[in-house]
Amino acid sequence: MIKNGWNLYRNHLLLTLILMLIPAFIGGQKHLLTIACLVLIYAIITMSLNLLMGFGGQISIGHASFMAIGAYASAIFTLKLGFPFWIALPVSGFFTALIGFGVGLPAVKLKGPFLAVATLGFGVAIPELTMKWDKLTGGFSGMFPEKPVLLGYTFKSDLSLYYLIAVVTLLCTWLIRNLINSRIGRAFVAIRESEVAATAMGINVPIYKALMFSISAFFTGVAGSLYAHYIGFISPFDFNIGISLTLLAMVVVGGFASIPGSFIGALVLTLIPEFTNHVAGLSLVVTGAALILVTLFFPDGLVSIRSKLKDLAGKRKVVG
Amino acid sequence: MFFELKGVTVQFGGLTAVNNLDLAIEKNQIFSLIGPNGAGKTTVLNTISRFYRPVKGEIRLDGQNILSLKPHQVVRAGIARSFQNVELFANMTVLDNLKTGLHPILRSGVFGSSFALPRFRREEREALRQAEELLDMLSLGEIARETVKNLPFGHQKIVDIARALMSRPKLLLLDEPVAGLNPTETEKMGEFFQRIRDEWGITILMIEHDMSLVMKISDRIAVMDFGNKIAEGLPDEIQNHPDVIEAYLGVRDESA
Repeated sequence: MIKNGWNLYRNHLLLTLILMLIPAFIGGQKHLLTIACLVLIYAIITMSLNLLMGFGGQISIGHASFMAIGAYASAIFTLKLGFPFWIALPVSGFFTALIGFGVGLPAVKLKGPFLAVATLGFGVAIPELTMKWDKLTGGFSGMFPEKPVLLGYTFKSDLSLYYLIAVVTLLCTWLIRNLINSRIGRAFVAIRESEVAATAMGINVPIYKALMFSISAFFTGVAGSLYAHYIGFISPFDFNIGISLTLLAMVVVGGFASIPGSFIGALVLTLIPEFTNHVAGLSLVVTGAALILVTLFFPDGLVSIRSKLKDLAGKRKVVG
Repeated sequence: MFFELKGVTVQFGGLTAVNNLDLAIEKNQIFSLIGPNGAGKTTVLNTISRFYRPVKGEIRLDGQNILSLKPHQVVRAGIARSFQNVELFANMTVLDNLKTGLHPILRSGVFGSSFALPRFRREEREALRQAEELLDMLSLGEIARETVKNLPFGHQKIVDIARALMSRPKLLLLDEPVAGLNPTETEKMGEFFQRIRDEWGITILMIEHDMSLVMKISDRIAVMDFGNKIAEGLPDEIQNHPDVIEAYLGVRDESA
């Protein structure tokens, strides 16, 4: 524990340092700062999807729908109910968690491909619903959530928004990390490894599966809320099934059951469209190619590069 | 009686796997259940674990009716188990497997865990201490941080039992605990079982094919064949029981 605990703190300190210094590296390039903000928002979602898939062994094909629920909930709470941003952020998380629990209940009975199809349905249904329920959501024309305000300070500049998102990301990362290293996190991994043994250890598998969905939905909802207030405009197209599949790809490319991997996956798959959008359709091709190459050469995700290099170096030493 | 099965019958479709079985186990006993393959021994264990539902009969621990519990509540009632072919969490470390065995005892919830509140930290430290203590007792201290799937089968077997012991059960169910272990390891395990019986006051119900171990450490033995109990008694009585010799020992390879 002492060693583990120290490692945990060291990693978190390192992440804090990197996130705080990124604006300095980027300099004044507004465009790059926008990408950095999006990477962090997607990193929160990738971590929470990884909690569900990588650690818990479940599957969710429609995770962008949880992001949509968080985003729309936050927009509605602030615009229609007059909640301040700092309350709307966690409340939309809890609201999404509630929905997540409901979505998780079928997961108790469904496994593998069947769960995939069920969550796919959820991923298609929610954007459809936000489109059709236009009295509440603005339908096609979307909603315009306001910039975050905290203690009278409005986060207007890109730099201030970046730091707000970075702080929330660090908080979410810290919470998820602690959770993974707790009794609850061990129960999730236990369910992935053997449901029979998990049951024999006194883990209530159905409840824990629903809990897994709920916690994952919570963080995704918080990220959705951040997204809504950061971009300042949300529409059903921001959360369509294509986004859901991209989130899935972030987990696979970054690496299952890995927090650093979640950041890498979010980074790579946010950068690909940014650097390929001058040719129509190219980003899809590159994304597809990246997925195939990664699963072929790094089945444990890009995060495994380091340990692979270590192995290689080790082998060379033995040979030499 | 500390633990008893009364008239337990388990059927799969039309097949009767366990027929009207009575078992009575006293506290602080090592009770062995033996019999040829397919006799229904593992079915008995799985029924006690509530993985199977008997068509009739009663199972009681300290007077508490086990059959009213859900499978995940059995360990809280004080019954833990190991598995015949090990059911470990293969991609976890040995320590994490053992800590998972503490699941029913630890109390931290989602909030306390994610914010790493002081109680959670205390609990985790205590969990680690208990897991390391048990591993040292089993001289497995040096593999504590290994991933379970990389361990030899013999070590996995012991980790499986250690995980079951973490919750300090009143009754420990062991399904062929020494199958796959070498004679030295088997002897050590036998001594360990006697030690946890005497020092921790744990009652053991064990299925085992290794007759030298069974005869050496059992306080009492029951023999099953084709779902029926055909004999029960002290090790000496069982060894000389004509039905047992016919059903079981008679057809066994003497070298085993």
